Amino acid sequence: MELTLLLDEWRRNEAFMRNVAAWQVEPARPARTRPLPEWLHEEVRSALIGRGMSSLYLHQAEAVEQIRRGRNVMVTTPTASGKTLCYNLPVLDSVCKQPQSRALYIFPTKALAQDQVAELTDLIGRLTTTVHSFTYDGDTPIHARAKIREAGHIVVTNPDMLHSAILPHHTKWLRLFENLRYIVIDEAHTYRGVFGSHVANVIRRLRRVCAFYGSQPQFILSSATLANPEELGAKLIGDEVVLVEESGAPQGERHLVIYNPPLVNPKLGLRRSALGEARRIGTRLLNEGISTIAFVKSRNQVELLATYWKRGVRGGEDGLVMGYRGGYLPSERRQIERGLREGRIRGVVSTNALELGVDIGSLEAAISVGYPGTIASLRQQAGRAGRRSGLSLSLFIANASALDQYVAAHPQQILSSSPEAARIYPDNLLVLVDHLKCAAFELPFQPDERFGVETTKELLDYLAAARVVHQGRDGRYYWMADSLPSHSVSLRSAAQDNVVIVDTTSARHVVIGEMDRFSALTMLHEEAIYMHQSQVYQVEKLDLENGKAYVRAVSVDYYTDAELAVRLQVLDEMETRPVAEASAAQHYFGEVMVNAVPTLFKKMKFDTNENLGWGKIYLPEAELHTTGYWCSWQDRNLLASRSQWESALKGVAHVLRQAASLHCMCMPSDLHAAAHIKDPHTGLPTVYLYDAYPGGVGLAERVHRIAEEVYRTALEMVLGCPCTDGCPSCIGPGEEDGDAKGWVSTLLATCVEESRVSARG
Amino acid sequence: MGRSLLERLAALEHSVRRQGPDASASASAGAPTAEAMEAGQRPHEIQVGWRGDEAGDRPDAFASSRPSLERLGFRLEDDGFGPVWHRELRYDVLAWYGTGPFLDLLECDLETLLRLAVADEATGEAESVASSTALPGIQPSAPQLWAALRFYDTETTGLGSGAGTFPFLHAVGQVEGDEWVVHQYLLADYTEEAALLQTLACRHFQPGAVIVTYNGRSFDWPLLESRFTLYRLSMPRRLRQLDLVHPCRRLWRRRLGRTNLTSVEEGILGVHRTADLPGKEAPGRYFQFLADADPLPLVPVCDHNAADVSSLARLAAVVSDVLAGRRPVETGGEYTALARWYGEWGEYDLAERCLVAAAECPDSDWQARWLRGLLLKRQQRWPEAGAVWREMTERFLWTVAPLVELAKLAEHREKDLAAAAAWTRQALQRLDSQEPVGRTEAGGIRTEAELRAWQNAQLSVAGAVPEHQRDRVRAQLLHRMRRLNHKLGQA
Repeated sequence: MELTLLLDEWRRNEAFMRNVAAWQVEPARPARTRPLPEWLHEEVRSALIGRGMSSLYLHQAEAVEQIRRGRNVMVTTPTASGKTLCYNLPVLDSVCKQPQSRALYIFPTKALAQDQVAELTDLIGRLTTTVHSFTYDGDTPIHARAKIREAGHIVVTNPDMLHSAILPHHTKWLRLFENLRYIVIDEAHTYRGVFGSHVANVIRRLRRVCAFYGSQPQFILSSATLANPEELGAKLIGDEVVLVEESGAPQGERHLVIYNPPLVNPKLGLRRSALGEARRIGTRLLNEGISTIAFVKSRNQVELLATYWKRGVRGGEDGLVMGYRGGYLPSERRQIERGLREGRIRGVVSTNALELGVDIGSLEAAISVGYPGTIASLRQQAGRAGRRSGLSLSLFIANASALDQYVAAHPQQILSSSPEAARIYPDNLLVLVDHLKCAAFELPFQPDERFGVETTKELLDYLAAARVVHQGRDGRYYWMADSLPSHSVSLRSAAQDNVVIVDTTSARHVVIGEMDRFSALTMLHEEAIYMHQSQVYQVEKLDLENGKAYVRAVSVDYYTDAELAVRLQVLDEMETRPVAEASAAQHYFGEVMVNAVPTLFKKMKFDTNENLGWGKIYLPEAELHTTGYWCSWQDRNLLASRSQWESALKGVAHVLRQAASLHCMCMPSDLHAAAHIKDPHTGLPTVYLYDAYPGGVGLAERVHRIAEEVYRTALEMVLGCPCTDGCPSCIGPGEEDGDAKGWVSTLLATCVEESRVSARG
Repeated sequence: MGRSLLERLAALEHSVRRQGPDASASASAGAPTAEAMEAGQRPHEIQVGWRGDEAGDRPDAFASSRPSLERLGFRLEDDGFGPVWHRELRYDVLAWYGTGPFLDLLECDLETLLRLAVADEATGEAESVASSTALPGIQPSAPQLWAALRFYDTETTGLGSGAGTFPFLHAVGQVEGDEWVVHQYLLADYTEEAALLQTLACRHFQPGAVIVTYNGRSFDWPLLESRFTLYRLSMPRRLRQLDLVHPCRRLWRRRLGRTNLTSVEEGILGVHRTADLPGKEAPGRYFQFLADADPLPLVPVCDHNAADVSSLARLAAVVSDVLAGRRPVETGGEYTALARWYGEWGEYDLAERCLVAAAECPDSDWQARWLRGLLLKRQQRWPEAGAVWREMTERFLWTVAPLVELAKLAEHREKDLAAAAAWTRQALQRLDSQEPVGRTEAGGIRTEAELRAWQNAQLSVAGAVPEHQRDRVRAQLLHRMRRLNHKLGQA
């Protein structure tokens, strides 16, 4: 059966339509093209024509034109609109015209980099000019490195490699830096939060080194759709970018369906499982011959759903349906990707591993099982279906969590409103100073040089006092220590001196990640469930002294949630303002010091958040300096009793954290929450949200700025939940005591203008 | 109520358990005691520089660093590139160092030694022409090859080769007339580095020079290249590199266990340093000097650096004598090493003589005999080769490879199929009875790579077949067996 007919059938099926929260149709769009530009080098022109491209899409033409004018460009057109040509074209053109010209491609992961080189190789093969493109990453053999440094026209790498291998040894890369014409940053939206803040500083260092060698490269960025592409681009590269967002690529008709599984227990807010619905719907699609991809949240779920599909689909056991996730061997993954491109594989279940630009051709249907955390991510998943022509379906199946339910209740959030903004905060003091050290190692600092912030000189003097740098007689600051500073700075984790996570499942222990000490208290205490790339581990031992946590892979259906006894001390109140109804409460923003001792942890069932039991934690107190947002309620009479206040504040803290993560485009774990019934600073009932990263990364600041929106979303999350008295989905785990839902709503409502709440009816 | 930037930073760094300024201030080594400096004078060792007057007043800023560095014998010189701190230590070539005089360097067979030198990768023809006009090249005649040698060593602020690692002290040793001279250049302020590099290049690294180092090809020289790049200066061209670590490793790794410079000095040159400054303390002392301009803590650093290049000169003479057969060697390891060079240079007679000698040494091993067998095979001296292999099969009861060679010999040369089949059968038997080597002794090995390296080392000594190759070897043997049986059946 064709997809059109199946969609018609569903539309007529009342039982199905009762669960559909929204169904939107985007009409087909024809291609809009421009002729190949006049100035294009003859070889590049014939290479394109050789590949059947006698014209450019509108956005490609616009991008290459802006690049030709010397601007930095950010391209944010949808997946599969031919974004890579926007940078490959100018790069190859420049090498054909000037053989010594060089380009640097930065991809967030190794796998993507390798994919890109393969695609590039095809174009290069059609040129007569010799263009060398190489991947330079941890897997590059030592003997090949010298040649890459010398002869690579296009060097493809990742930020970590740039940070730890290329920049500190820039003298070996003389050829590259002297002739660097373009720097390509692909998947720029992945550079957000702490990671993005680090990457922005790495790019500051990169620009500094380029300036030293006399090159002024242009930046070409590509990104998924974002609310603030220009802001992110500018903060990442420290310079203005021109946005190219309107796609000229053709697109088939797209159906976007938001599906909320039916309620089975309205009191508890329990619904049919999202995975079960994906099993049923996916099996149907595949049996109708419609190629389908499903995105699930964990590796376990990949295996589970793939097994269901294999059993339920004709030919499913014969390789028609595959799972795809991290942990598979690269060769196996390449094979699956090829099978998908060639149409031999019709169904695939994946974690977000396939979300980034790995080329798998186009499928007819994409199912997202559970909200992937951000709208951008959800859109990328949806983009896997229906790339250029023909009808396509993207289906989002909500699970029982508050976030998912909020999204199901507010489909406009996904369908029409702009996607989230990606925030970075390159001037976080700790991050900045780490990279200032790396930069000083790379090249001495001029006394009046500026590295991101105006206070550069003050910071350098601080480092000089610490004898990390030395001010020479010429006034310049030189690195002065026998260590390599980039060794102790990891881009992908929080502060230094982290806890390293060691997987002891197999005889050979493997380091699988790291975490800052503060988070380790609640995430890596003994018996904690730690999830890494969707694999579930249990912590067997936390050795804080040596900074190691030993974990073992387990198969459990719960996660753990630790409670912290938190002492918050406000160090500096930087901003304050009253809420809409001035006498009710007050918003604050400032610096806080958090002292925390973890007390006990609870075991919570996946999906439903049921409490399955608890355990004690024995760990010392930790300290975190960070930025925080807090709200204090002036009117103690809002609620009747101390116990009501207690339940309410706890619930508010929980739901605010969820809502804030939605608005800040971060994981809920990037923000911590705390509640005080009588706060030492304000003397009033107070709820805090603070950045989980030392020094803060701008999340709390943003919450302060857009507090009204956050509270409105939080209130809608609570009111929109079908439960009656408050459930784990909306106000978080807690004892059942009366109308906690009502009390939480009362507090939230004080911060929201009444008329603008739109609870689901 | 805002806090200052630095207060915030200090508090933040404290909260993530980093060292603040106060904690790290004393990280560098304290000033050495007078005692240690006194003990720094070693029996076999040249007296380097002269000691500063301890009662002298302490300088307190760079402004006064000039007189104080002069107390170490450094002088400020300017060749037109800018001021540079330089001192030279001169010794009569008849002076002894370790077990011999520097004079040996002038009398040894440098021609053989220089076979080990390699041309610099950076030497391009076009550039070399240009630079040869800029600097007068060195073209020593055969008896005066020593005039081209530049013994070079540096002290650096770190071990990496990144852009922030500074060589702060350079030593170049060379023979000038009848003197052994060590030139030392000290970077008194980072600002002076460009001048220092140019002076160094212009005075010592003329085209045609041979840079003699210990591990310099992978450390000191690339670091120097990096410094030149940083100042956008062009690197000296048309040089050759002679890194003594490679011949020392080949000759003496088995005898000495380790082949760092200290072990070689002690084991080969008979130099024992007393109260030598551990290399890792050098950066700390230099940083201290940058901070307070007191040069006294640098005294042992400079001594150490000068001693290193002096050792190099002696070492070059010794290696050269060994290569030229002028210095008796004692161990099978040394003979085998020599044989490998002679083999590489096509001097098969010499190579064979060495291998014969190696086999007679008390520490004689599998490798010497195996190499000899291969050498004989290459020369098609079949009966002799057969004898070596037969001896090996009897002496080393686990070895398989000589049996394979014997089988080939019997099948293809001697046309004795039955014998060939017998050798092959024996090889198969041995292959299957082999114990995996040294499992139990592999203590202290933590990673798989270490384990593999260790196993391979064990195997190359023992001549056994590594486990991962066993299947392949077995398949080859079985194939040979089938072919032999077939041929035997036909006959």
